[in-house]
This record gives sequence, structure tokens and C-alpha cells, in this order.
Amino acid sequence: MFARILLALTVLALCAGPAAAAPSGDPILVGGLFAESGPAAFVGTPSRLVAEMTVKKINDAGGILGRPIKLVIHDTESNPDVALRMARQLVEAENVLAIIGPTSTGEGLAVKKYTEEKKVPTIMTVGGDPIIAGGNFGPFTWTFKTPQRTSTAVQKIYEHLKAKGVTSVAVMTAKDAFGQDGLAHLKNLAGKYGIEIIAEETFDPKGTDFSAQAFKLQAAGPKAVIIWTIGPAGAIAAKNFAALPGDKPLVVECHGQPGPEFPQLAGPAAEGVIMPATKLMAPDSLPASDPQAAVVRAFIADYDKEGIQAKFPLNTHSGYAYDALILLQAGLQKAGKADQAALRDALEALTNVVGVSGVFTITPEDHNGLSTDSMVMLQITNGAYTVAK
Amino acid sequence: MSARPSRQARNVAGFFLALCAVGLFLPNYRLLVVNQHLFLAINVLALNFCLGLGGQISLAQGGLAGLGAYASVLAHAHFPQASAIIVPVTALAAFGLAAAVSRPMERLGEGFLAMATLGLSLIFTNLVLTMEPLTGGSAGMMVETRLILPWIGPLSGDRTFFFLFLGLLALGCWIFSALKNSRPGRALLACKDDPLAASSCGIDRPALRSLSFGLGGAFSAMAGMLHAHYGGFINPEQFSLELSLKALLFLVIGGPGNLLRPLLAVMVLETLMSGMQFLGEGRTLAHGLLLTAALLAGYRRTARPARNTVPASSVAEGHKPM
Repeated sequence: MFARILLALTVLALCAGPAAAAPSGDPILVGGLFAESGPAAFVGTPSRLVAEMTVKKINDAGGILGRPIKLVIHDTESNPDVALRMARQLVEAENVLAIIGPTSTGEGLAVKKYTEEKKVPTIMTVGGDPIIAGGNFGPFTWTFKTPQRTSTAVQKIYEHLKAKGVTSVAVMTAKDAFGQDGLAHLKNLAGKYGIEIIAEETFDPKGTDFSAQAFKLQAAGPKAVIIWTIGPAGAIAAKNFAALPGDKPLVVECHGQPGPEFPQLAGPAAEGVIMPATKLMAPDSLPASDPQAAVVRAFIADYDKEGIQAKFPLNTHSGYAYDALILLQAGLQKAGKADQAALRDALEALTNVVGVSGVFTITPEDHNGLSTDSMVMLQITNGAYTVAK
Repeated sequence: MSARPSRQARNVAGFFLALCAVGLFLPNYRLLVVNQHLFLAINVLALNFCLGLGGQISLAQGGLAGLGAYASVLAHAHFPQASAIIVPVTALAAFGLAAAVSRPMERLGEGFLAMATLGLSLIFTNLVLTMEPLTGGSAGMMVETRLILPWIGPLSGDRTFFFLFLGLLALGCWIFSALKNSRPGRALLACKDDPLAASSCGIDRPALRSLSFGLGGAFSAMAGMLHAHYGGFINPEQFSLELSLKALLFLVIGGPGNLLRPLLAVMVLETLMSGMQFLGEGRTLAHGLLLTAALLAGYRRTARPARNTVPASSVAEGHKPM
């Protein structure tokens, strides 16, 4: 009997795989810039928690190149001046190898010139395209970003509208950098999809009522109206359209909206609204064959387990910091050494890295590496997000 | 007249010497924050010309700084070697613009004047947003050109810009001091204390106030130019109403008309506030408490009767306590 138990234990011990070796040696220092206060804190604070969660997970699994990762985090206060100050502290005093963040496009642009000059690989979690657009916004050799490009979200919307036979749209965009970026891409790409923009209006994203703009746009008779803003203004605009008399156009929100707040704020006006989102917002709709399915579900489980879900319910932005660290991990493994130039070259040549926001294939021309396949179109039905048919 | 420098002159010299020491010994990345505070300090001094000397409240400082920044960056994009011309011309243009808008606004009462200058700030922001092909709109624009001085060459580096900011602040302090102790300066103070009485004594109120408003505009514009070429990136948010309100806040804390205290308030309070990162979420509360304490201290100081009692002889000689 004893011999059998001993044999069983031996077999069990052999079957259990080798435990992940604990990382050793000097930690690899990575800077983290997150807007933990100020207007962008609703994205920045959960991003910090996600980054810490991901680093813990990476270190528990043996670190990178056998070394642990140490995240040096600073709050950018949603302020470009503070973001630059903190970036300089990370590089000049804390000697980080690379930087994750910052959170907002304005902060990203303020930091970018410096990190490009200092040749520090920086994987940003900002929404706006200018940081990797080149041209007037300067070179982006050392700058990468994980959220989908604005143009990717626009293409996703247009693909969906074209499939639905919608050819005339109106656009209503915020007067800030995010809204202007959206308007430029909406205009540039409309022709490619056979869509005509028959009316356009802008609004102050801090405003509390956009009925006048909604009325003017509805009067032009579009089949759909695309609203491009983040924050509560998107829900206000949806309510303003719902309150109009007569035939209402299909309301399309941008990729910055998907999250628990939108249906709560818009209430019944949210019904039928469609918007592009990361697959994080529709985990149940992902087929087993989708390469992201396992990653997305594991991320959601960890997000819940770490208690972040209770404080910051999951939204479309939740995975960007995770993706930035996954790209950094893949880049360092590909480079084979913790060296800035080698890391940059490796990041630029990454292919098929599966993250929460999509499958990244980065090229020298495209420092984002996500296509429209990384997004799904969502529709709000009975106050909940479902995949738009 | 006494050959000994006045107490105020000694204090100002001490302030600048202390700043020089900071500039010489701080590491480069720490100088960035000092330079950002100096940019604000110059705007506080610029507002002091309008409010402290002329008695005109202004919320246009942010817009005027932005005007200088954008004008310089756009001009340098076409004429990268012409800093020696662009900088003075832009400063003069800002002086002219501020002086010109001050004339009609001089007739407005305090509240209306504040609203009118607020309008100027908003007009600037909207112009930048509307002229997107030129200014980059709300996304802003990268500044690839440098200021180039004849015989010196391109200006770059934290320490160089520290001394440029400091030099501009010192120039402003000198002009403020000289103006305050001059005949037009006393006429301005008279306009501030009692506009009607000043007018009835034959003082050309609109002309004098346009001078102080113009000087304030020129200094804000010059600070904006330095800030743009130093930071390497500009967007309308950097020159928004927040900058104007901050300038007003620190001027009120230090006392309008006083040369040194508002500048000390900027440098000390801003340094304290930027060092409060370790407080985490409690930082906003700490900022609020600190500023409230500073405002109360400023109020108590001005309310103290002993400090406001002007010796009769001093008034007769045209002096006012600093």
C-alpha cells in the first residue's frame, strides 16, 4: 500500500510541470506615467492599477529575461507640464529603460519630443493619433501606442454603416483635440466607403446641452449621426437626439464611449445606439477560435480578482496599460537584452502579439499595429451592450 | 537722496541672488519645474502692471502669452534665423495690441473689464482652434525651431532658459520699479485710487492705463515666446484661462502693487504644491488648504491698520509703502 502511495506521489510530482523560476538579478526599471488626478483620472487611475497587476503577473511568471520588472510610477495630474517633468525625472534621475504612458494626448505630445530626443522607448496609452502621425507632429521613432488609432475606429464605423446601406451621415464632434482628430479622419475616409457627410457641427465637450446642434443636424436628414467625444458629453448628445420630434437618425458614438457610464447617463436614450469598442466589452461573443478570447477572459478574471472591477468597472480603456506591458515584454524577449536601442528595434518588428485590445503587428510605418479586426461594433439593448448585428 | 539702496531693493536683490544660486546648483531636470514657475511668475508681474499699477483687472494674461508663443513659433518656422527681429517685433505688437484694446475698455467698470478681458482670452483660444491648418488646432504643434541670438547662436538647455526667464523677470522688475517711482507711475496710482479725482487733476487716464496694460501684454508675450521655444510643444491649453486665473490668484495673495511678495508667493507656493505628489489623492485638498491659508494671510496683512497708515510726510513726498 505504502509503495503504491509513494508511486502515485512520484508520478504526480513528475506530472506537475517545473515551477516558474523566481526572477533574479537587478530589476529592469520601467517608468509609468498615469493621470491619477485631474480630468483624465478616470482612465489614468485604473490604468495604474492594471499596470501594477500586470507587472506582478509577469514577475510571478519569472520576470523578463530572468529579471524582475520594477515599475516606477508618477502621477501626471492630467497636465502636460507635469507629464514632461515626471518623464524627465524618470529618465534623468531614475534611469528607466522604457516608459509606459502617459494617459492623455496632450500629455503624450508634451512628453514625446523629449523621449524622442533622449531615445527612450515609450509605449503610450493615449487615444489621439498625432503622437504617431509624423509630419508636423515630429518623428515617432521611439514612440508606440496601444489604443486603436482614430482612423481604425472610423473605418470600423464606416464598414458597419456601409454594410447596413447607410450612405448619408451627419457628424457632431467635440471642439477638443480628440474631437478634431475624429472629424479629420471622418472626413478623409468617408469617400473610400461611399459615405457622404451631409452636415457637421461642433460642440464644447464641457457643455450640458447640445439640442441646437442636434436639431440642425436632424434637419439635414441624415440616416445616421456620428458623435465624437469622450466623457458625459456623448450621453448628453444621445439624449438630445432622443428628445427630438420626428424621424431620428441612428446615433453612432465613438470608440471612447463604451463603458458602464454611457448607458447609465443616457438612460432610455441609449437604446439602439451603436459604437465601436475593444473586444474587452464583449467577452461572451468571442468564439473560441478568436486568438484574443483566452487573453480577454483571463484579463477580466484578474481585473475582478484584484478588486479593480469593484472600484473602476471595466470599460473599453481598461486594457491599454496591460497591452503596453505585454508589448514591452515581447519586445524585451525578442531583443534578448535590456537595451533601449535593441528594445526599440524589437518593438518595431513585433508580429502577432496577442493583447487585450487586439493582435499587434507593428511596422516602422505603423507604431500601433492594430486593424479593424481588433474592434467589435456594440449596440445597446435594454441598457446592456450586445454585439451589433 | 540717500545713496544706500532701499530695503525693497535689497529684498529684490536677495530674491534674485537666491534664485541664481538655485539655478546654478540644481540638476537640469529639476530646473524644468523652476522654469515653469518662472514662466508663471513673469505673468504675475505682467498682471501687476495692469492691476497693481493701473488698477485694471485683467484675465487676458494667458491669451497674451499664447499670442506671443504662437506668433513667435509661426514666424520662426518661416524665418528661423530672425530671432533678433521676431522677438522684439512680437513684444512690440503685443504691447500695441494690449494698449489698443485697453483704451476702449478703460471706460468699463471693474466687473465689466474682467469680463471683457476674459473675452479676449477666449477669442485667442477660439482663433487657435479655428485656424487649425496653421496652428494645429487643439492638438497643438511641435516647436522645431530655436531662438538664435546674434554672436551667441541657438539657445537651448534648461540652465540657459533659466537665466533667460530670470533675466526677463529682472527686466520686468526694474521697469515696474522705475515706472512706479516715476511721474506716470504716480499718476497711474492716482487713477487706481480715485479715477475721477485723477481725471479732474488733468491726468490722461486712458493713455496712462494703456501704457501699463501694454507693458503687461508685452511681458506676457515675451514669457510665452520663451516658454514655447523651451518646452518644444505648444497647445491652446497651456495658455488657457487657467493661466490667467493662476496669475490673478498669486497677485492677490502677494498684494497687487507690491513688487516682490507676489513673485515670492508664486515661487514658494508653486514649489510646495508641486512637491506634494507624495500625498496622493489628498493633494488636491492640501493645495486648497495651502492657497486658502495664503489668501487669508494676505488678507490679514493688508487689513492690519498699522501697515496701511502712511506717514503724512511720505504722502507729501509722493511715496507709498511697498
